[in-house]
Amino acid sequence: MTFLPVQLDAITGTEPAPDEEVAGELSLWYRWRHSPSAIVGSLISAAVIVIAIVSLVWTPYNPLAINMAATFARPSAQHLFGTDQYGRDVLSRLMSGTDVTLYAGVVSVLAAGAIGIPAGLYAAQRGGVPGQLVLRLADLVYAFPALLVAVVLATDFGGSTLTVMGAVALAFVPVFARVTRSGALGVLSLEYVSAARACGVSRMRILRRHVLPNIAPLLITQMTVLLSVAVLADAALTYLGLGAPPPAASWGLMLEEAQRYMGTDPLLSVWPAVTIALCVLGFNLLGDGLRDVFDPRRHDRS
Amino acid sequence: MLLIATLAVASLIVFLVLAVLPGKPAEVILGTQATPGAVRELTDKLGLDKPIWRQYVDWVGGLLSGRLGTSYISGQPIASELGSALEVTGPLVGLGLLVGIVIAVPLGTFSAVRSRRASGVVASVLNQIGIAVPSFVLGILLIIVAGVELHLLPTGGFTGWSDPASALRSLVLPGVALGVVEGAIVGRYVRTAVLDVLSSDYLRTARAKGLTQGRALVRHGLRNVAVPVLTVLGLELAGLVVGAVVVENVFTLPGMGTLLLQSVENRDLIVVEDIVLLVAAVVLVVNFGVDVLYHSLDPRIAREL
Repeated sequence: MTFLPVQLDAITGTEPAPDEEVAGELSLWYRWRHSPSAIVGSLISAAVIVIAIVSLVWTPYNPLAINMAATFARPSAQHLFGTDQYGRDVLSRLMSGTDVTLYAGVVSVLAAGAIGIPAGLYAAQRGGVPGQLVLRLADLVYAFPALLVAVVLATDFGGSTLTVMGAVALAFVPVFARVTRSGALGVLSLEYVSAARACGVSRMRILRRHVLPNIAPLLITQMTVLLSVAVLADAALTYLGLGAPPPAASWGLMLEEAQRYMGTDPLLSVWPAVTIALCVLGFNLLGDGLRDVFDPRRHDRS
Repeated sequence: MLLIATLAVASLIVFLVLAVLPGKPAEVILGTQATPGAVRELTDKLGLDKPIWRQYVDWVGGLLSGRLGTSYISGQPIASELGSALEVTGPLVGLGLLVGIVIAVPLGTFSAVRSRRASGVVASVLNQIGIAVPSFVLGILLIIVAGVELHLLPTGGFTGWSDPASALRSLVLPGVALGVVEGAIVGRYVRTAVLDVLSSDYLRTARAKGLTQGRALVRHGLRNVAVPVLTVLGLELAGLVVGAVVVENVFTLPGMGTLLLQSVENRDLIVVEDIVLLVAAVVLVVNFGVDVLYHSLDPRIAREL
């Protein structure tokens, strides 16, 4: 990832020398160890991912199983986090909610990237009127926050996980387009890219070989940060009833149901609240940490 | 000009997307028992029998002349419904913005000035946690602590502005819930901006000619901090409006967000169209305003462009 002003491989189109690559990897690892955000963020994110995977095959109880004999149970050895108004195990529901949230988040971020990144590359490469048009379109989409899109989609098709994913993905497209474009413009203005172009390397090949690898760290960081935003948006939208309807075990829905029993059992609201905050914190810190790791100059400043 | 064109395209998109609605509004309103005749009559009455382009022209024409139309469900003029909703949402957003600024500026400055000491790191950690707790989650936690356990403040409902003291009291918790998160987000930008200023040459010069760090920051740094912070604040205003929609639901406030979600449930299309376009217009206008302000605050940017 080191950034030499003149790169021979730019002209010849060969891979960079292996030893140079190793040096880059080593210093990435070094910077990771020295960034508290990266360490804490990786740990929380890893825990979230593991829990999501485990919940696919095992949860302590069936998250949907109703047991009217054991409603509002306090935390105990049988039910670590207690049970809710239908006697459903809160821990199991939180675990299966992790899976749904993560799935929705990852899909919407990837879908947004699949549209936004090519759009940004096109705008950077093309410039002129078509490039401006892409930017204006991005501004236009940006004026519709995920919540509004979800509201419109829910009016048309009803609330579902698909509604949430579509809304969040659409809201992220302009973010990807903007970040990709500004990153790509930086790379395209470098001398070795001009040199490559002078050698007759095609536009597609320049984008693939020079621009994309150079802006990949930027995009990965952006994806991590957006994943935390997606978790947040997912919680808010399911809370408002724009996501999958009950009895689905989503964090937002759990919070919405728990709020009704706040007088009886305030703990019931606290669990999903803390889970949402922890998950957002984890991905956010990971994003910050990746920024430290990939871009040490910025790290010095902030 | 560009702003008007963008607004026009936005209105077209909102209208088209909602016009392809699978269920016909008249059928939904009248329920499954409705006779075909009744459905046709209501469709006529709502003006939904006209061609789509005609409906669009009617809608936009109405908006431009200040007529927002009539709610399909309540039969009330939307302008008055929206007006009374904005009496709640407007002050709520204002309060959120105020709380946000009151938190962001001192928190960001403190954690920048003390960035190499333990107290600054603690401030940064608190800031990170503040960002991670969404406003509606914080709202629920506030209800539990300040409302249910301590009985300090009302936790929901709104009595109207005829009694300003009680109206303000019911807006305190939602305003704080909304403001803390925005404050934390903006605080991070304040911190970066202050750090930038602290390492600048002109600040070193100001210190060299004998100003204390605090005075140098106020006299020379503030203007430079203001540029990025105002930009973020502008962008966050959109976040506040959207956040208000969710927070109103937590605190059962009869604001714009509640009206919007009710209308979604009732398939009250025209109300949804009006509110969605209103929010999108606010976002577009604010972003435009921020751009203009940005250039007038820092003439260097205008020259660079």
